[in-house]
Amino acid sequence: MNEKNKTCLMAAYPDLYELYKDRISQHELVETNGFANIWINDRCLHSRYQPEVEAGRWVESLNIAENQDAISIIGLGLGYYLAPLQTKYPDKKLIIIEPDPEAFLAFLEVADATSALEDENIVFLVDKDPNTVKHLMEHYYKTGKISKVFFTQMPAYEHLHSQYIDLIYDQLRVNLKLTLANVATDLYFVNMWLFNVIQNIKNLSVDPDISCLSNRFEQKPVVIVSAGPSLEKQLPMLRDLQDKALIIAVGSAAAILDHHKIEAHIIMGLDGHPLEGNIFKSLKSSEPLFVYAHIIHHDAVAHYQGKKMWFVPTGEMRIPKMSEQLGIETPEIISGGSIAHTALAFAHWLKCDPIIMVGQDLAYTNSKLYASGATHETDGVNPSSHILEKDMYGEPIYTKAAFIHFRDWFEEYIAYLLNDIKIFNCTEGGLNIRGAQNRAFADVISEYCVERFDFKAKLAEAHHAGQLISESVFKDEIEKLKESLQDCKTLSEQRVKLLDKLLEDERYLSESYEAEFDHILELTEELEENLFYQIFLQHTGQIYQTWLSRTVQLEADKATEIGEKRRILLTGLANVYFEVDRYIAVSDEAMQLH
Amino acid sequence: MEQMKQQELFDDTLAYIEFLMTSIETLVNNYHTGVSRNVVNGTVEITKGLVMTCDALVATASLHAMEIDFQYVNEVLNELSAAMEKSDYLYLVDLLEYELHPLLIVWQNQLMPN
Repeated sequence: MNEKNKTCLMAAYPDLYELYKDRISQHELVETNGFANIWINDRCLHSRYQPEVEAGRWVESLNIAENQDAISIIGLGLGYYLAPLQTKYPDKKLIIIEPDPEAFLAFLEVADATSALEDENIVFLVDKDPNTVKHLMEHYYKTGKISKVFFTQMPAYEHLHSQYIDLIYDQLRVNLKLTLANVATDLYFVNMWLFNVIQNIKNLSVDPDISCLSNRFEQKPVVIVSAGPSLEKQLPMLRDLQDKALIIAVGSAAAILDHHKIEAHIIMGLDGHPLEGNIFKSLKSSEPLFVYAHIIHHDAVAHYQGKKMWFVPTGEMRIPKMSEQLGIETPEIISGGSIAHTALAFAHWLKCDPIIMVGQDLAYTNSKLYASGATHETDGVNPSSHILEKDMYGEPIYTKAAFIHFRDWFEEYIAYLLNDIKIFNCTEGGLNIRGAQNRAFADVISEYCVERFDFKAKLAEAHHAGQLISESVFKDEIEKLKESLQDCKTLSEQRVKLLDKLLEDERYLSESYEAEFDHILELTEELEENLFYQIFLQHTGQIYQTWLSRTVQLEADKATEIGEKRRILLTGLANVYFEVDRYIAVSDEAMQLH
Repeated sequence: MEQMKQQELFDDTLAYIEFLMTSIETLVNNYHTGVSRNVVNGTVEITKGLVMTCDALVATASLHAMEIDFQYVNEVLNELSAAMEKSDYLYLVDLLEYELHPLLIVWQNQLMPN
């Protein structure tokens, strides 16, 4: 590798440096008409005559809109297009996805890559599978690094890496929709989640976390029961499975089993909606262990009479911060859009094997959404808004976009994380889930659920052994938080008032603007150092706030007058501050109930 | 009469060389601008046209003094054929642009009456 490139790679991409520092490209590097080229699969990657002209023409052909702030390109080759691309689009960020590490090594061997490696506007994603690319892109979106991306690929890669390109675009299409949906979800539910979390932390000194379950169910079969309509035919078999498999009922399935007087060992919930509260509030049996996340509706936790344990779903930042404050570690479980996703990750965390799913229709089997006994009232199939797909038997079935996302999540999790465990989809209906073997429930039971095991006793034993936070430590912490919340309130009110004043009568055009704005920044700094803010508010509504800031920034960039720029930025800031002020009011309401 | 037919064929060939050059330019441009990366069909038509042009130039040899370098033409045709077999579209357009198009310009210059 070229020494200068090596030094830059070490500084900018230390992980790639470690991988490639002692390697040379396995591709044959050739010279055609005085230009470096790569010989791959019996062909050259670049023009054998004028690679620079070829690259320049390709760049010229790209028609990238002004509001697209980033360009994602699959394929780098020897990087001939970098210079013309940067000349044509100097302000846009470049995300270069090179699926071929040998090509990247060749680039480092023959090209002067120093400026590209050092450039903060360029990121190289080398040898990353489509799933990782998707997650990284999602991260860039969420953190506001990019907002509108132009996607393309080097022409030569269209043939060489066609499958990879298709996979990337499939993943990104799904992801883009999900990211936008997340902004809307975040905006809609943020206050409800915040209220629930603050209410539910009451139980930190009453319920143990799930750590005490670790290693107690290794290699035991687990059945994850979801509420799909196909569950009805599996109910009689579940009744006889009590001491042969760990039964986890999720969300509405807890109510269905309760209705049919079938006892689950564990019931799980994390939905913050009041409907979820109703499910767990109205259960007649209090035998199952209730495993919940703190964002669940507070009524569910407050009213369930049985034993309870808590976990932290990925993405929830408040409980880990609170736990850190209390000096405890929190067990994190990967979560998706559905509680069944979390249950799958939980079963995996418990090291259960095999994992058996029932009632996971992800579709309107027999035009129904739930098996009988669910507490939710739902509408039936609506052909104008639902999607016609094929079920696991190839027959047409109606589903909805959210279920297709759920299925994609399952498939991704199974493909990337569950490859060492047997997983069966015994729903016997609904959408196919790639990676989960479709089997008749009765067959899987007779093959895998044969040994008797006292799951109930093991759970009780674990619950008893669970560590609790001392009540006095917890009370002291709550007092500290209450005090800190009051400071938060004062600081937030002050900065909202000052910002309103600045926007009033165009005061942002006056000479005192900078001094007044500095005062707002000082208040913000103080607020961000506040204990309550750091634990509960720093990550609340973050997706929405990042999206809002980004949108405002783009709008401000378009303005040419300094006054107009200030007005746009201050209005955007006022929206964010007002949101935070709202979170503080919600927090105050929830804290008063402690 | 025979001479008239030869002259007619020669004139048509000259016009056809112009058409081949324009076809190559369009094909190359479409490839590089992403309008169409599938250049196989167009290349097949161009190679057929090239062979026909060579035949016509041999048949009208009495009207011009140009010597066709058949060895070179064959080399280019063989390379085009190999690139097509491998679906190496980039090399196909390279050959069309940097080998065939300049060759046609040379022919045109030599054949055009001063």
